[in-house]
Parts: sequence; C-alpha cells; structure tokens
Amino acid sequence: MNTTPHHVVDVSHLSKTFGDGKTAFRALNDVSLQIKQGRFVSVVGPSGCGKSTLMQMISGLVPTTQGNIQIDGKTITGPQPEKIGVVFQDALLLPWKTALENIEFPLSLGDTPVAERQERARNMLKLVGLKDVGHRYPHELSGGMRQRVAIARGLVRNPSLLLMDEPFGALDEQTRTRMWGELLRIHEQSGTTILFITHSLVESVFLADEVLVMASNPGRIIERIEVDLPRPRDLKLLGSERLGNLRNHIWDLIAKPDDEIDA
Amino acid sequence: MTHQLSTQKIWLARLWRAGFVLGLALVWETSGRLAWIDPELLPPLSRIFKMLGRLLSDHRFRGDIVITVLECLTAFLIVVPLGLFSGFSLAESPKLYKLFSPVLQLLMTVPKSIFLPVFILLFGIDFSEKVIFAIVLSYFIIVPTGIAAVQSIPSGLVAMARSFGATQSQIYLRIYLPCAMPLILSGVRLGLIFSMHGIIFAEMYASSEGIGRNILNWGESFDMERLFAAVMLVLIVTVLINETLQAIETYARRRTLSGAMH
Amino acid sequence: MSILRKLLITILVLALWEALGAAGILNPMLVGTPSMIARAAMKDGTTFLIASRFTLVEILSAGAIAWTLGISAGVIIGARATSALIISPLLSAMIAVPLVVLYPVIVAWTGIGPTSKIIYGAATGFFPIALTTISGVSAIDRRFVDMARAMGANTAQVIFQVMARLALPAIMSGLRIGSSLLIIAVVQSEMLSATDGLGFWISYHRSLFNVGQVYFGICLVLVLAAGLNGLLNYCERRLRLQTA
Ligand SMILES: Nc1ncnc2c1ncn2[C@@H]1O[C@H](COP(=O)(O)OP(=O)(O)OP(=O)(O)O)[C@@H](O)[C@H]1O
Ligand SMILES: [Mg+2]
Repeated sequence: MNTTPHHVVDVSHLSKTFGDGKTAFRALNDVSLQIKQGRFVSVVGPSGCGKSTLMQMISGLVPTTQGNIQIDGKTITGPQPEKIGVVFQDALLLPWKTALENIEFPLSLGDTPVAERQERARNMLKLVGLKDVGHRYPHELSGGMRQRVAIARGLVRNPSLLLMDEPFGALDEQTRTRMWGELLRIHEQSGTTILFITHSLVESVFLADEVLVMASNPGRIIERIEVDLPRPRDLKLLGSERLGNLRNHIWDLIAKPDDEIDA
Repeated sequence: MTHQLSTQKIWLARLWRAGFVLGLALVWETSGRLAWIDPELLPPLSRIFKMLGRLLSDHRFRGDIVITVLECLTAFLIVVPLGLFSGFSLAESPKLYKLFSPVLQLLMTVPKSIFLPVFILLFGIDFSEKVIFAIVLSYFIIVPTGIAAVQSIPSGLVAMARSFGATQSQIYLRIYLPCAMPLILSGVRLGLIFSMHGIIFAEMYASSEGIGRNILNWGESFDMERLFAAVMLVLIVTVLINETLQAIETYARRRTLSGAMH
Repeated sequence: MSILRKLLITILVLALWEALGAAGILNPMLVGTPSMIARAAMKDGTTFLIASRFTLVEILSAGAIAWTLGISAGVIIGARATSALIISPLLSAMIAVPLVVLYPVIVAWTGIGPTSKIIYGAATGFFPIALTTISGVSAIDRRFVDMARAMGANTAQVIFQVMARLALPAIMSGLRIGSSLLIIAVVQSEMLSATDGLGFWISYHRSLFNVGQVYFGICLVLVLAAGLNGLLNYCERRLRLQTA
C-alpha cells in the first residue's frame, strides 16, 4: 500500500483485543482512517466504544492487535513525542511544577538547551493566552487554564499531530464554550493536525472539518461526516440550523441501537 | 489500583515469591560450598539447619527456649488485655481521652528501648525485668489499635440495633466484637511480635539465659554455625507467627466487610 | 498548650522528682534526681558530647544508606505492579523479625567499631522505607505514567522524575518511620557492644551504677532523636510549601 505523504495519520484495518481466551474482549474492530495535514477531525461515539483505546494506540502507548498505524508515512511502534502531542481528559499537570515548567516538561526530557526550552514554553504560553500565569502552580489555576496549559504542553514540541481525548469533558459549559474559541484560534495559528475525541455531539460538529461516528461492540467507525460549516467558526454558528441538522443526524446514528433495546 | 487482582495472579505471585526465596537459599548454600564467601563467616544453609536440629535436641538450649517462650508469653498475656482495654476505655470516654492522650502521645514518640538500663537499675536482671520491659515496649503500640478498634465500629449500626431493641450485652457481643475484631486481632499480633522484640533484646543486653543471650554469646565467640542456627530459628518463628496471625486478621476483615453488606 | 505552660509543667515535674528523691520516697540510687543528672553532666559532659558526635555520625551514615537504598529499591520495585505484588510481602514479613538478632552476625563480620552499627542501623531503616515507598509508588495515578511516556519520557525518567515524585508524601512518611527506628537501632547496638557512643556510655555507667550518668546519656539520646525528627519535620514542611 502506498501512502501519500500528505496524510499525517493513516490507520488501516486496526483492531484491538484485550485479554485472551475466555476473557478476550474485542474493543476495536477493523478501524481505518486517514487525516490530511492541517485538518481537524473529531471522533464521537457512545461510552465504551473504544475512543480512548483508538487514541492510545495512535499515540503509541498501547500496542495494536492487528492493523497498522502510520504517522507522517512511518509505521509507529511506540510513543512518538516529536511527532505527536497528546492532551488528556484531566489536564494531568505535574503538581510540583509551575505552568511554565509543565509546558517545558516534554522538552526537559530530551536535550533541548534550557534557554531554548524556556523560550519555546513562553511562546506556547502566549499562544494559549496565559502569558501572565506561567509562574503559578496547577492548583492555583482554574480548570480551563489547566486545560490550556495541557494544550500548550501538547504543542510545545511542534508535533504534526495533536491528539485530544475529551479535553473539555470536565469543564463547565461556559468555560467549555470559551475553550472552543481558544482551540479554534490555536488550530488556526499553529496549523497542527488535530484528532479530537469527545462525547459532545455539538462540540464534535462545531470544531471539526470531519466527524467520525463510532459504535460499540465491537468498536468501529460507522460513518464519516464532512462538516461544511465556514471557517473561521463563529460561536453564533452554534444556534444555526445547519449545525443542528448535523448534530441530529449523528444522534440518530448513535441512538439507534439503544432505541431498539428500549422497544 | 483500579482493577481487581485475580486469584490466578495472586497465586502466580506466590509462586514467584517462593522461587525467589528458594533461589536466595540456593545462592547461600553454593556460596558456602564453593567458598565464594568464607564458610567460616557464612556457613552453608544446610550446615546451619543441621546445627539447628542438633540445638533443638540439646536439652540445655531447649531450656533456654522454654525460658524465652515463657517470658514472651507472660508479657504477651499481660500487655494485650491491658493495652486493648486502655485503648477501649480511652476511645469510649472523651474525658479520659482528653486527660491522657497528651501524655500517651508523648510517651509513644519516646524511644523505649534506650530505657532498658533503667529497668535493670529498678528491677535487677531477672525474669520480671525483661517481662516488664517488653510490656512497656508493646503497650504503647497496642493502645492505638485499641482506640482504632472502637472507632471502627459504625455508629449507625449501633443505633440501628438499639432501635430494634437490642440489649447492651447483645450490642457488645453482636456488633462491637465482630466489627472491632480485625483491629483487635492486629493488636494481638503486634503485642506478640513486639513482646518478642523486647524480650530478645533484653536477653541480649543482660541475661544469663534465653535465646537472645545465646545469640550474643555465640556471636562473641565466633561460633557462626550456632549463631546462624539460632538466628534462623528466631526468623522462622517470628515470620510464621506474623503471617499466620495476619492471615486470620485478613479473614476476619473479609467477614466483617461481607457482614456489613448484608 | 502555650510554651509558658509547658515550661511551668516541666519545672514542676522536675521539682517534684527532686523532692521525692530527697525525701527518700523514691530511691535516688534507682530513679536518679535532676541534681544527680546535673552533677553527672558537669563531671562527664565532655565524654558524652564526644560520644554524641560519634553516635550522630553513625546515625547519619546509616541514614544515608537506608534512605538511598530504601527509596531506590522501593521506587524500582513499586514501579511495576507485578514486582510490587511479589516482593512487598517478603519485606513486610521481615518487619516482624527482631532484626537485633542479626547484630551479633554483623559484629562477627565487621568488628565492634562503628561499621557494625551503621550496617545494623541501615538494615533496620531499610525495610520500612522500602515498603512504604513501594506502596506509595504503586498507588499513584497511572495516567501520569501514560502522560509522561507520551511526552517522550524513557523508563528511568518515568520512574524517577514522575512516579517517585508523585509518591513523595508516602516516601516521606516512610522516611520518618524508618529514621526513628534507625536512630533507636544505632543506640541499641552501641548498648550491646561498642567502643564509644552514647549507648556505650549509658551501658558502661549502668554497670557501675552511676545513675546520674545513665539518665544524662538517655536525655542526650532523646535530644538527639528529637533534633533529627525536628529536622525531618522542617524538610517536609519546606517541601510542602514548595509544591503545596
Ligand atoms: N486495559 C483494558 N483491559 C480490558 N479492557 C479494556 C481495557 N481498556 C479498555 N477496555 C475496554 O475497552 C472498551 C473501550 O474502552 P475505551 O476506554 O476506549 O472507551 P471510550 O470510548 O473511551 O469510553 P468513554 O467515552 O467512556 O471514555 C471498554 O469496554 C473498556 O472496558
Ligand atoms: Mg475514553
């Protein structure tokens, strides 16, 4: 199979089975997806359908059972910190480091000179709009600020792909809405390709160029939807009919099996 | 950790552990046999166990064992009820607690073993001196478990039993005892273990008899085989006692938990 | 309790002690009196001060060994769930053993000098430190491990820069327990057989029935233990302030 270089992510026929023998559990079955450079792709699906598992395999943290994952045309076998930035559901900031030091953390693990890594961390802090709170410790930041620090940390090595697993799941609605605006701006400014996992249908549509809808048992992609909303996205779009239609369409896809059970 | 450990995993770990200990024993044995380490300094395990067998059939050493066991048991039988009862009373009466807890806290942080010379000044070198020393040493370890035992009794359960018309003795027997059992048992275990610690140290420090005395003497006369045999005896006995009592404790805890759920 | 009240109580207790001894209600030859201790301090103060330094050096050396070995063994074993599952029961079994029986073995191997005290003290401190570290490290939020690996941390970096650091509160409490056991162990071993040190002099004067000196030595041990404990408290508080 010949991969075209402009696909940052190329996942083909990916499957994952946890355990073996009687306790074997098929978490993902034959998942394929491609993401072009600079695109914002979101993944929605019911709880337990394997979204996090998919993300962990793409980030190289969890080995695959079958199939192949290529990032920038190269098959991955383990974590790819210089190519992939990751943002987790809970910010997972190291509590003994300041915001700035947390952003520096990925660079401090390699051999980047101290001056350079502080410079880059400070730029990232500016990018996420927190340039005044770099000296604060995580417990001195609000939930939204923590999540922005986590995004800055994910971006600090200038990765070709940013993986985000429900990064705003723990935030209140207002903060979350504000974060959407921030993330869209960051995406625009950094030009990074983003794979964004979420529970929220509105979120998946509003942010993304493309939505992958998943179903469970076994986890698989049941539909991909192009989002043809204009960019830059305005918060006013949230009330628009087009967004509402897309959202309803996804809901129909996800809700179907449950309705059958209810009946 | 979030996921439950399967019994299979626990057994596998036990197997590994046994293998680890066996491997260690093997290294010890061969190191003496092949003289990697001077066998005069570290006799091979087989010779140590052979010596232990001989010691156990030697009536003089058996007399020493009897003395040590008697001392430990006496201290244990006095200190466990004493310590637990003190703990219960303190936990049951806020007044007593307020009065005594500062003193208790102070005495708990003071290292007791360095006072052994004082015990000797006060009581001389004999059976009672060692027993009293061991009692003082363990007492302050048992009292907190006694307090914790009472505090572990869910007050809701007591109120519930009262509302169903349970008598006071029924409450003590049916609720207090089973609920507090795990911590009472751990008080018993700690009492036994620390009584042994106290007695053996007291014997080593100043005594004319007992296992501890023999250990010190054999060390000073470089009788490594006898020394290691006696050390091995103490090690095996304490580990066995501790593990057995701990297993009983775990069993009681599980029963209390499942009882609370019904 | 205010400092003034504490001071008052201390003075009262000392006065009562002295009075009971003077009145012959308590035998001063057995329980000593504050004045006897003061006289002992005047007479043998220098010897005891030199001995304190000797003991302190032993304690600090044993502490350095027990801390280093205990923490690194604990962190490495605790980092993997399987190794923690296999090894921690072995360590907790060792805690039940009166390690003092090993002291004659150590003396037979290394002689009666400070080395034997250092080894024995380090062994006593090692087990609780390693055990608490293992349980602390295995209880950390594993998602931080995933995070660090995704950021490019290698195994050593994950273990020492993330897991150990997250387990620090548990490690600190292990250090506290281990250190106080270790201090006692060093003095205990000096009491059993030594050439110098506080424990040695306490035992020496006990055999001569110099009650004042015995109590004076014990007081010095208590002061030493309290001082080291205070130092540990201070370090812990500083650390807490830094990370909050
Ligand atoms: N280590 C594991 N061992 C066994 N099963 C696992 C493991 N990790 C995940 N699973 C199972 O795989 C399935 C997918 O899990 P995953 O966490 O990927 O779901 P998800 O879509 O992210 O769910 P959520 O939306 O709730 O976060 C679940 O049924 C889960 O129980
Ligand atoms: Mg998930």
